[in-house]
Amino acid sequence: MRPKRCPHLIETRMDDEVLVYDPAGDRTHRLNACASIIWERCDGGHTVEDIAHTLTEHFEVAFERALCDTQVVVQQFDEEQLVSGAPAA
Amino acid sequence: MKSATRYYQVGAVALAIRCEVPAVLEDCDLLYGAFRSERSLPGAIQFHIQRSRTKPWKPVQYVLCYGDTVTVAGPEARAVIPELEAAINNQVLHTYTEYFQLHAGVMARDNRAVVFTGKSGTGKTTLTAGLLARDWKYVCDEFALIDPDSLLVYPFPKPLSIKQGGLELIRELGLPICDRDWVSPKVDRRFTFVVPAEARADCLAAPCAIDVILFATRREHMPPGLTRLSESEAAMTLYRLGLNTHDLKRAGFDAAVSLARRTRCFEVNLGSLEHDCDMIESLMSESPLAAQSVA
Repeated sequence: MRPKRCPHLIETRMDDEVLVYDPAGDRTHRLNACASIIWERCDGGHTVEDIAHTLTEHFEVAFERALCDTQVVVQQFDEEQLVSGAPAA
Repeated sequence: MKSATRYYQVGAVALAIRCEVPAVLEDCDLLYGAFRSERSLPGAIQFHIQRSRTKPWKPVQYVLCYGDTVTVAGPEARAVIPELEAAINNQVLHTYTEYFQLHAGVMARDNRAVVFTGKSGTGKTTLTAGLLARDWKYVCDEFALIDPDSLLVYPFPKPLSIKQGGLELIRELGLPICDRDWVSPKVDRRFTFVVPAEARADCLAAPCAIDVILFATRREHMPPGLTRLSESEAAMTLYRLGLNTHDLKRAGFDAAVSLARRTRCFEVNLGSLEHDCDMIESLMSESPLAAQSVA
């Protein structure tokens, strides 16, 4: 599965974080540096494993741990209806 | 008794107060006289104050009508002003919706504003009074009305409401206090006002750019001081504190983000008034905007 950001969302990068505004739900989300990296790769072209590999390049973290964190974060994005195509929990 | 209508242009806010009670009109002029307009103001928020009794044998009550609301102030004329002040706040909130609104005090120097938000009781009015006594210009003490496009803050220079407990400090600052007080029977509280226009002739600010936003707290166990917020933290806080963010929708989000980017935002734990005023003056003197104006 290749998660993809929902196209109706408004996003803006501030420092190393991303703010996401959902006009449909009138809600705002603040993504920390790690979640922001995951978010930016939710473009429909990367698998969860690809994204986890990217995390290992940015942080000193083992792939297994990065994969676990990526799955959790992508799942949260999915629950907040920010992405489509997330793997089933 | 024949009623009269008073019009007041209080900075960005236009008020029309119709009343048949001379004592109440005198109170309105005492508080808003500096803003009185002899001609009618189109689009002004309308208030109507009248004396009424529900039954012939019932005592007279002072009644305030605005929008779809009718509220009974009480049997005494001096209960009207507290009710009117609350009604003005309520109506500004619902009428001036084109602005990004924050519950905040705002003061300005050299046409640059410092905005201080915080819960009721944090000390916003005290800080406003302290800076007023240091020759800063007054923008507002209740609502920061911020244009979401230009990010200018527009003045709403209504009188400062001073509770009994704050009177001594205001006297020490040398600010002019109204020589009468008003009673709000609903909250059983007595208070008076400082009319900023009486403090100095030139104390009212024009619309100005915001330089600093302070998110004020008062934590007794922490030393007073400032913590700079990241842009994203400031944007989220502004979005959360905006009184009408959800009405503005996308424009509210954009305004919060732009304000966070273009201003310096701090969480501040307030201490003594003198310390807080010194801290703000020091912050403003360090401002990149101050350096630009010197250059």
